[in-house]
Amino acid sequence: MLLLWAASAAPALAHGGGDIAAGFAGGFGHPLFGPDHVAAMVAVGLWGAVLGSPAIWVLPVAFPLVMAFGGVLGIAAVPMPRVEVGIAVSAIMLGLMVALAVRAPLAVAIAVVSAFAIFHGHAHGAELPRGADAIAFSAGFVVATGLLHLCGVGLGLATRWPAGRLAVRLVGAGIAGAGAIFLRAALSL
Amino acid sequence: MAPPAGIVVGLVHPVSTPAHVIALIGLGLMAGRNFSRAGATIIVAFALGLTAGLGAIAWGVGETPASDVLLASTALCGLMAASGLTGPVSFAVPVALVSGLALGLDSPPESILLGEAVAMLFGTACGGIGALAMIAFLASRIARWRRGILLRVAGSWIAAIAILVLALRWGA
Repeated sequence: MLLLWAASAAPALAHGGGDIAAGFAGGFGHPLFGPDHVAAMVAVGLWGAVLGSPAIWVLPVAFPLVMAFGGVLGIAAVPMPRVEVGIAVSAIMLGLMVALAVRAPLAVAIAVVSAFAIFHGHAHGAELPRGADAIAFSAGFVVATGLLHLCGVGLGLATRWPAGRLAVRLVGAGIAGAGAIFLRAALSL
Repeated sequence: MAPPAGIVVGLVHPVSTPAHVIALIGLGLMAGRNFSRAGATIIVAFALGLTAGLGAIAWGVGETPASDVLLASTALCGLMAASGLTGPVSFAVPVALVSGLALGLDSPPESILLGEAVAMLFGTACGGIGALAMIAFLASRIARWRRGILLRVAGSWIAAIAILVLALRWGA
């Protein structure tokens, strides 16, 4: 289903235009309308759940902070080549981590997730509206991003059961596959 | 007897302005983690700062960078909450004082009538202090659950929002 959804979407919808309305609703919808962003965020939560405590909550804490740093780079118009490619690769890599149940040390997991958070933050930062609704918009998209992580964590709790572990790994494989489609679309831009 | 309209407007002001809401949540998260040890001190420091800021507004102080300072202190509070560190009281109290001062300076009354403006400032003080006390108390309860994970997640969100908006303002 995720693959179909990815295939039906235009490439990197979340990061293609800056015409999204200001305000919380606009900010909240911003990450949700980008399947590449959704896939990667859910994968962050899933990988945290696969790794277990403390990664299950450290990754969702670290991601928004580093994403804000990436957002600052985007707002400051610091050039970052092929941001959309980086975002697509994040879905592939994080999906593979889940699919292969890679049990990386916490520091490595934080480093991997943080590296990709910069790409996501840069893309969003470049599109943040410069206006009075900036706080509401920022709050909306940070909260939506966090809730996507929590969705991933929630799904990942299924790893407590053997069938759940298999299902989570399949979802990870689906995310990686979707990421490959995003990558192909991003490279064709 | 119904309270003057100015007080009601002032009471809801801190919880109806997005920058003030995230500042109160950020400070409340930090105070909540320290609640038994220094919660009251942090709230009193905030109250003193807020009173001073609103007093300065009443005395007609001009434009200040209060909104930027408030966002910076919010980011700091969010980072503290996200890190899970309680931090020394000697750190939390000045942050609360500065937050209160900045919030007060960033809350000019919406009325030009003296009586109504004073009522608004009074309402803003009560609303801000009351909201902070409630958030801090709630945060202190949540902090006991699962080692305060929810506070850390919320802290990271608050810090991220404040950092992004600060960058937007400075980049404008």
